[in-house]
Amino acid sequence: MRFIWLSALKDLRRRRRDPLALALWVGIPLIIVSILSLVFGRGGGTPRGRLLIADEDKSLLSSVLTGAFSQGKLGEMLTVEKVDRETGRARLYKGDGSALLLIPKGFGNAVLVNKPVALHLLTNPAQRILPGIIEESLSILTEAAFYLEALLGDRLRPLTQGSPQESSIIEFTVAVNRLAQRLEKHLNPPLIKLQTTVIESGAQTGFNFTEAFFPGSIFMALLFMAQGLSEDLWKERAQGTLRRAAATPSRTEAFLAGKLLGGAALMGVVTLAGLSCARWIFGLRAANVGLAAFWASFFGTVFFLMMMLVQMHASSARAGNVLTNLVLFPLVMLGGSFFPFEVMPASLATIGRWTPNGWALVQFRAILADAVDPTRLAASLAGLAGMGALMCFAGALRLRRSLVGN
Amino acid sequence: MIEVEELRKEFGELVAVDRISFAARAGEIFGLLGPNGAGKTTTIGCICGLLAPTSGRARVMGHDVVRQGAAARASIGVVPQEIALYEDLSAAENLSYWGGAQGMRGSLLKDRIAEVLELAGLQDRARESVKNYSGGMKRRLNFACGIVHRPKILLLDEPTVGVDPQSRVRLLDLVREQARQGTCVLYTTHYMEEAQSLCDRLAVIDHGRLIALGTLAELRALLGERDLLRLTGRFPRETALAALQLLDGVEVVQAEENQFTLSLPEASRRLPALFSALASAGAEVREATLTQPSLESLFIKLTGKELRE
Repeated sequence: MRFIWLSALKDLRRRRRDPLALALWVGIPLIIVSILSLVFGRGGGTPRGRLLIADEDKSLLSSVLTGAFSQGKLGEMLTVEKVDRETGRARLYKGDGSALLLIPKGFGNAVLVNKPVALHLLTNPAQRILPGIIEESLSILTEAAFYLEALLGDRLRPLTQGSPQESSIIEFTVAVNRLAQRLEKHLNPPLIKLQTTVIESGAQTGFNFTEAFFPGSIFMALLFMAQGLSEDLWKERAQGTLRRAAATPSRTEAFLAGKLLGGAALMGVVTLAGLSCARWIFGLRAANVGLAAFWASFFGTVFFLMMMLVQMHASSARAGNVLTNLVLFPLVMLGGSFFPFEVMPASLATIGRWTPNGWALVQFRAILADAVDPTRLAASLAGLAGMGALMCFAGALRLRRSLVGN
Repeated sequence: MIEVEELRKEFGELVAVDRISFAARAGEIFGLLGPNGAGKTTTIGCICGLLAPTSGRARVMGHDVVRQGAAARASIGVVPQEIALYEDLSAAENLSYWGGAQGMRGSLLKDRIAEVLELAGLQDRARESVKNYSGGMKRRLNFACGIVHRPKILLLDEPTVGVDPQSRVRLLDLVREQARQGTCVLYTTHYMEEAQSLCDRLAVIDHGRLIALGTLAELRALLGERDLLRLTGRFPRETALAALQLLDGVEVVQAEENQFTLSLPEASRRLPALFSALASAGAEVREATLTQPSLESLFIKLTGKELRE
């Protein structure tokens, strides 16, 4: 046990004297996240879509309907643009817009005389969320228009014929207000509320690029670190210290475990520092920082062990570098470290979530969002620990037989 | 303290060590002498447990190096041929790590580190990064790391390769000091002078086989009082051999078209007769080198080639 500590301490001292390597491992993801945050904006916040409206009715009711999309939460999400039917269709087919709403001529009168009328909504198939919101909102608005006509149709009809007098408008407004007061207990709290939910993070509202990317970038740093640290096996071999260690009574497993412990400590520090920076610089919302750092560094350590196993099976340092890169880069690209799952095509995101680092990243984000299932996390930790123990045993055998030359 | 019996190590088709047997005692400097590739490092690798012997066995302090590896390694100190140090750590940190790896700790380790730093003449630069050291200093630290835990057995694999003369003298003094303190030292080298000046007993190995074993005096006796004469030129092999057979006490060690090596008593006095016989056989001697009995001449006599070839 003491040799494990000694080996870990030795490796940490060596790392401290080679700060450039550490700076590169951590710096590259940090630079990427900083650039992308600048490009996409810090807050990220609510996504914006473009709703094209072809209002062929041009009545008071069609104006009310059109205006409703520019109010409140919907107004924050949508830019409304009035177009004619053909232009709207053409732009939608080019992908310039989330949806096209066609309000046919006679829509207002049909509503007031309680006749069936159809609104046409054409949605952009390349987008899913915003057209969905528009469709849902429109359905609510048409229902509202129906009930408005049912409750206040008699008072509303005179307003739509010719130029209404100011007194009629005031009278109508007072009537609407009284009706609203009577319905207040039913309307407050609102029965229908618009919500955007990010499934993985649970507690978050809206898509925040930094929040989506930063956990991935921490994992990217850990993966780079794991690969870089694993190359130390070749350095130890080249400088003869591996053979020297094998000639001591201390076990090879302990030598390997020392390397892992040193790597784990380094990864823990990097994760904690990364999360602190993310809170301070990017305003990242993060709960359970300690647990998250533990989970990330635990996974990083097992990944480091996997990288060492790959190195042990390589015939040279160069081959080891090529092999570990072959493992590393697809995992970084697919596993949500380079591109957040939210911006990946659905099929790739599904595959990415099944990669080892993608799986760990989903858990990591759940921990940060305080939405983790403790039982599931404990099972995951136990699984990782078991896999790590197996790899450690295999690695020690391989190290003794292959790298030392036995 | 070290017992090697019929030790054999194969790497595929290659037989690196072929049924070597020897024993080394406490306080003795036992030399393994042989050219590069003779099997010296492989023998040391088997003794310290880095390599598993194909057959035969090695015991250290009574412990079998395969079956009781950890116990055997606990009493061994290894100074490898390459400089096996962490160059980004200081000398003190290196010594602390390797001492710890051998199970030392606390004030015992601290005191011993100060002691070996002084022995190696590195106490003034103990806190400095090893990468700033000269080659000789690194060699001395490499040695210090091998003795930090006071091993009963010290395995030295060509520790003076590439070392400046001053550091070499210092290193050899350190080796003698270890033997004086009762350590059994196994020293491999291909430097004749080192082996002659340092070792109490020697095993000469070539192509993995042990070809001679004994004290320096015993090995010299194998040569008798015979000198070694190396002749370079052009020699019609058969007629030259026939001419030399007529001369009393001349033994042909090596006979090639451009080089003959002979072993004979009082060679300097018999040179005229020798040259005359060779000239009559049609040989043309361009150069003659006479060597007094030594390990070098013994090696040539035993293998027909020079140690540095």
